[in-house]
Amino acid sequence: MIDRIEVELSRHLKPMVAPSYLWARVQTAPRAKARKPRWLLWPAAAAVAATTALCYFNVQSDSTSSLAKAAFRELASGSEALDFRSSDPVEIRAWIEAHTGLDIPLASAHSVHLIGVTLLRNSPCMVCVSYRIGGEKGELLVARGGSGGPKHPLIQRTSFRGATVTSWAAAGQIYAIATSMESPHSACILCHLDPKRSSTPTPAG
Amino acid sequence: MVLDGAERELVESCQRGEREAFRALFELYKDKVYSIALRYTNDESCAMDIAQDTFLKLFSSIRDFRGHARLESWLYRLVVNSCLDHKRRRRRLLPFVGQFLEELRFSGESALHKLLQQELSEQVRSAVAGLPSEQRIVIVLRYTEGLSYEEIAEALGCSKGTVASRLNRAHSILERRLARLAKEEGGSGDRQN
Repeated sequence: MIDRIEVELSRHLKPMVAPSYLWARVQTAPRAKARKPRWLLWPAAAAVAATTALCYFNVQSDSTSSLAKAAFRELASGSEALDFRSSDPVEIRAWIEAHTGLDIPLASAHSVHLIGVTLLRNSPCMVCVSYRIGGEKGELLVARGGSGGPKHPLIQRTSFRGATVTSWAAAGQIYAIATSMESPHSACILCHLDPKRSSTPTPAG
Repeated sequence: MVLDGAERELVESCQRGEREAFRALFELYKDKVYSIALRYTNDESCAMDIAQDTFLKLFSSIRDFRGHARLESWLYRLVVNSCLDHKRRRRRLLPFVGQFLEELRFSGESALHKLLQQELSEQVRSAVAGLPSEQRIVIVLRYTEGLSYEEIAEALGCSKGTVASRLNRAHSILERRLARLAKEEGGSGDRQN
């Protein structure tokens, strides 16, 4: 019976020729959001800089805290629904950048198995990168906000129901990792091939 | 680099932004992309959306393609992701009732035979369309594109064992759903001989 099904499937699912107007559709389709020239943003950035500076410390704390909660929820939900499924850090980084403008410098570490990305929120953008290390699942949530520097001192770490959520800010983005791994530092290899040698320090414990 | 000479040259031309190279890349893969999308969705309009989306992704991300995998494998991953993305957004339609009624207007044996063939094809495709998405994409890559287990595993980012298990489960489901259909078609085939 299986042989018969294989024959039927090959017969009824055979390849087709694409319609001739597909190329026209591809050409006229709206392109993915191009990155805006940064100089256009400077006047606006200057205008809001003072206000931002005043609000900064309060907002940063609130943002990371809500991101941390969202990270915990993602881990607890155990959802497998992804908007983009890939184990390739380059593909994942490109997809996130194309869809949100966020840049997450994921590294290629053998011990990390990337699963994919979920776009949790469009405006402001919040993405979740799902991964596994040694069979344990982790969720990395990223949103825009936080400090502008490349370094990311630890802002907060909390444990709840066997999960640890670590959140920090770096380079204008805020991050939160939720994992049930005993050592949350193992997640550092998501972005740092060798945390000890990396020029960008990992969240300190 | 695992690309052969011509493929590498084409990719490099695309990475330089040469328009003709994009067109050549499109011509090379349009039927594959469209076929996978059509067999996955069983809907021409959805297939066009997916094919368009796949090529837009391909063109916008070709700069990042380093050639560590074959271009075709990379393209399969793009189209698979587009299919899975689309599945989350789509609404189910009932597109075949009108076509069925249209066919009933014709009379004569050849029209009836054509109708039966189309109905058979449609039932097979509908049975495939009713599979869970992870099994359906495996079926499409296997029977529309004729990919090996290894190639499917590469496109989906999973192991060969997972591919084998999904195919196995899909076959079992289709076996149940198509058992009656296969029997009926066997009967009609006997009559023709």
